[in-house]
Amino acid sequence: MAHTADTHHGDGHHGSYLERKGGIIATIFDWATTVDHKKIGVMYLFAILFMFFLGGVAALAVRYELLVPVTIDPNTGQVQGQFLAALFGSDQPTSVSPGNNIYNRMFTLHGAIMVFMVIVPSIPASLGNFLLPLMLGAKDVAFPRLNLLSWYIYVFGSIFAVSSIILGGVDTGWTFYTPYSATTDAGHPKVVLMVLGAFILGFSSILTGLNFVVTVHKLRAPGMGWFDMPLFVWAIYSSAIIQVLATPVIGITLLLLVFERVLGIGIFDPARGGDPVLYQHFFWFYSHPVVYVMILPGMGVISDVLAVQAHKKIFGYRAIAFASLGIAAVSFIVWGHHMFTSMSELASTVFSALTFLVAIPTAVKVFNWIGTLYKGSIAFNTPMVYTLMFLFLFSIGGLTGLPLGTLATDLHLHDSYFVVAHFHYVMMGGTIVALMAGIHHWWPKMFGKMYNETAGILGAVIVFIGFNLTFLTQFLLGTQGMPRRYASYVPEFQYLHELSTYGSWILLVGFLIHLFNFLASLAVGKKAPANPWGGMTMEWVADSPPTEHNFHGDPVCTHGPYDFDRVVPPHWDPKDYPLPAPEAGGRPMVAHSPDKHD
Amino acid sequence: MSHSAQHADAHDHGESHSHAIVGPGLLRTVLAFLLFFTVLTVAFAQIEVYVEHAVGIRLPWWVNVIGAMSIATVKSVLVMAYFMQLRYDNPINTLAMLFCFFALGLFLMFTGLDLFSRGMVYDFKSGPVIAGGTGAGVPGANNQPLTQAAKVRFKERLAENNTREWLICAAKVEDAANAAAHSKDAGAAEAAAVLAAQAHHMMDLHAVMVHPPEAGAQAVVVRDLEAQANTLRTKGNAAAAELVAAAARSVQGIDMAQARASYSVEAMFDRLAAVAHGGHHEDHGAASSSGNASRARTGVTGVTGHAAPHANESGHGHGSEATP
Amino acid sequence: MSTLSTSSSSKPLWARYKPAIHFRNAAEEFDACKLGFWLFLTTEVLLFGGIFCAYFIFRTLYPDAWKEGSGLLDWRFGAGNTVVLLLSSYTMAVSIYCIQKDQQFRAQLNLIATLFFGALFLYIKLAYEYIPKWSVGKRPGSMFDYPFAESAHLPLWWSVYYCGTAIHAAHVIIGMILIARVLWRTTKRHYGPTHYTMVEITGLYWHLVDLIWIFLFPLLYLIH
Ligand code: HEM
Ligand SMILES: [Cu+2]
Repeated sequence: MAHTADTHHGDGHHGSYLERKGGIIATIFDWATTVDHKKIGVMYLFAILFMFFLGGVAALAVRYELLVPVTIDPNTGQVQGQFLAALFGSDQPTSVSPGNNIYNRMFTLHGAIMVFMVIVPSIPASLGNFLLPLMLGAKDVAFPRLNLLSWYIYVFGSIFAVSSIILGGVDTGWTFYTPYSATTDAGHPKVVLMVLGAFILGFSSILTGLNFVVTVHKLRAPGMGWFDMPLFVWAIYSSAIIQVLATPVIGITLLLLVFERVLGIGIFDPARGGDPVLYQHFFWFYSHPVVYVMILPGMGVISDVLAVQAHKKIFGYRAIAFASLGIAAVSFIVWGHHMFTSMSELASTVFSALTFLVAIPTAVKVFNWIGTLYKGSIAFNTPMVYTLMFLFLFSIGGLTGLPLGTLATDLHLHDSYFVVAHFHYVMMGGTIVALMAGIHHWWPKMFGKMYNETAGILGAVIVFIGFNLTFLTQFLLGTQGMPRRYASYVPEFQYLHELSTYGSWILLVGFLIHLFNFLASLAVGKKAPANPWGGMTMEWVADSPPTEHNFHGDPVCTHGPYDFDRVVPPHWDPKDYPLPAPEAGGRPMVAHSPDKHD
Repeated sequence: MSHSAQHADAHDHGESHSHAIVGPGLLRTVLAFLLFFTVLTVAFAQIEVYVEHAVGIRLPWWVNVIGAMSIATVKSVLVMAYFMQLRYDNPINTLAMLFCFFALGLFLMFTGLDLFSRGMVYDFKSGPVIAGGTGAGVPGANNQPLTQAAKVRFKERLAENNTREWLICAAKVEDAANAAAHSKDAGAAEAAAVLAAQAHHMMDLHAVMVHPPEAGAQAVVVRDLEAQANTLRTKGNAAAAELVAAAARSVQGIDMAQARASYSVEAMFDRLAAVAHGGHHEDHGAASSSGNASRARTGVTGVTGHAAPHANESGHGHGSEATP
Repeated sequence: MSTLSTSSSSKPLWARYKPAIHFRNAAEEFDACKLGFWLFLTTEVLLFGGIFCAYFIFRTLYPDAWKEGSGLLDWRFGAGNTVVLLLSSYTMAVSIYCIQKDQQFRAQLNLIATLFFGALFLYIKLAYEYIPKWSVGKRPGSMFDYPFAESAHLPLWWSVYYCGTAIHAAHVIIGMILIARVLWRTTKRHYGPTHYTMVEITGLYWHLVDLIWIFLFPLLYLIH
């Protein structure tokens, strides 16, 4: 995609961005004050993976609690099967409520961490930060200092929110529904801490979003029109728009909730004349669009990885690009499907009809991806395995959204494990899987090291097995009537719950394999070439890892992002994969790259 | 409006279309328009009140709303176009703003779609709405709606000894003021004004809630009234002074023990409420606004008259059916 | 964003300004900053959108409470504050013009005037509205203590009133801090005809504060 004019060597920074600047202290200071989008992206990646770890521990605890149902010994009156209560001290309990309270706090912690601190920022803030300027041929994002600020706000907000556990934990669920959230633990600051934490995280999200929108508008390399942008950029752009337009509403919602708790203003509280469902409208006006903030960047990763790893021009480029915008638009008018059981019939009907609209652009994307795979020269490696996983799991997640969006069936499925399974299929099977695909795909670019492919594929396969064991069972539980957010269940459900818990352990194994693979790659990985997969987008023209200002000279866009049929990618090595058939009559163009010039 | 914006002349680099310079002349014109529209929107609201009051035509509620909101829209467009220079700016910025208003519109519209159609099919969906809330769990509300709880608390205050004494005196002064107002005697008008002001001052919410009366109210009031009488006397209005002094004497003559026994908290509450709703009561002192006063007065002309005019028109089954 | 070269030339700071290296030129940087800030302004509008939504819903549901509530406000303070804010918007716009023409002193005067109007707005709000109203029990939600309410939903009106105006007042304060910063930097000649991004952006923020008030004023004081 790029031709770099070698005329302009103004800055003289030619070392990798990862190069140490002096001793340990100097290096830490350098990273802590950096405005380089690549370093900030990497810092985000580590912060997010750390939060993913924390949230994961909470998830394992939740699953562990559900391994067996809670029973009360008829003879002694003692409660049995409350693992969390046993873990946190109270031995020989005679009441179920202490254990239940711990359980409630645990799943709230899990949900809040995973949504606000992991999935929402995951792909945009880490991969997006790292790749967006590289893909556009820019030296940085539009507002580099704002970018760093948003990282600090993220860290600050996370500390704020997580510190509520030290005070005993919050039991509202990640949705903070009123009036419960306005009254539980009355007078105690921990709920306020958690809510303000989410509020602060919103600022970080807004700043990242507007930074990206401006970057896409203003910093595209010469020659790069809107339809020369990689689809990842389109996806990030669409989700950034949602971030900017939806996040302020959660800001005011959470602020009003804090006022509600601290001052008792009553807007959301029926005891004070307000309306609790109004809170849900406020909340979901943000939180539904934000599920597309979660999934759109994932879809972008998949579009790029798929085209590159199949070495084939993406099928229906414009359709996918417009589908991203379409999803962003529709996402603003379907939020009511979370309140079918409490809204008016008229509103429910309208929202149900609108919900089905989302399926159209989503399906357009899925079909285009499958079309791209057809007759591609598919490389079988970790990013590709994860991409195929995404197609499979996300389709299940999306399709199960339809019965949830149907009024009659949702009355049965609402607040059941079916919903839990649905959103895990889209959020974990979609976003996290895409994140894993993206991390592997761009790992060589980020750190200049190759990872071990065998270990990567092994990890991916184990994650796949573990994931389905954990969550497929939950679809079944949900349809049979297992409600969500309960610490116990009737014995009939034990078999499926047990399987689900075992699945969570398998998932743990899979992610640990990846963790060790990454660490090993950093320590002893083979040096990565600039373009290990034969990609055509601009980031592959930069060194691996890129230099401080990304490119040698100012890149110029000379061809489309997926022109595998017309152009031999830069750094192409015939051993890697066969050259696609040239277009009738002509030989493939060779993309210019600085290395081949020199 | 003249378009005196010039474009920046000398800029060393590239596109300078965003460097529009809007001169002070144009800014002043825009400011003048904005001030004009501010006057207009106030006048519009006042005229509506006047029409309702003097001519007796109650305009439909949307006249008021649409009038105020369209003027506000025009004002905001002026601010955005000229002060914020959107008119000379990259159109993408305007587009961003339009998107934002569109999103806001969706938010209001679909939220309203639900909240205004509750109970359309099943009554239970609009629920047993307790007007003003159940008060459950609200400190000091005793499971009553908040407004009800506030009334109860206030009545408890009215029953306190010092407050009672203070209000008994105030009622006496008010009676004297009323008597003076209806009398044709010389100086009665001036005396009525002085006494009414005094009564109003004493019955103000401030006097009861913010600075609760202290013991010995009777003596304080007598002293105050005598001072007023002296002032009138030095101004040469002996007749009015005599009326005020008579009021002072009648306050002095109150038999507190007996008055206390016949004091009714409910009656006193109604009296204070009438003062509050009559518009004589303004919580920022003497600055009383005619517009709001008259509006508040229309509110109190009988319980039925107060029922919101458009509650019936808008037709949703959720709003105003306050449980009695 | 801004890198000020430290060369010892005698030119004022603004004339020595160089755009950040990832922009092609200063005009592009200026454009980008403005677009970024407009996007930020959209988030501000939507933040207030929550308040407007609560207003809209409850006004439609409980019109009598809203009528009673707005009757308890005095339009003259609202109108007065509207005028104060409009004047401040004007002086802010003029100060940008002055910077563009390198009339530094006039720019400073106008910035000071803007600050003055901002403070006046807050004073009127506090001294004539918040304090007298709050003290007689016209308060939101649980704190409501006004005995003569006729509509049962009057506490909700005060919730919306206080949330809306207090969040707006917080924006006035933030805007004043930004203006004070710009003022301080004009004394060091940071801004001039070729470089005034921060002045422009501060101005945009201040106009937004005005813009929100343009809607809050009729909604709270005039509509009945
Ligand atoms: C493809 C189209 C989709 C449809 C039609 C759909 C539909 C729905 C519906 C109707 C519900 C509410 C179920 C209930 O509570 O009764 C729901 C819940 C949920 N969905 Fe989706 N969904 C879709 C995609 C997604 C995506 C892409 C994500 C996130 C990446 C997502 C995340 C969630 C979450 C988190 C919840 C549960 C929230 C909670 O109550 O805690 N959904 N979905
Ligand atoms: Cu949703």
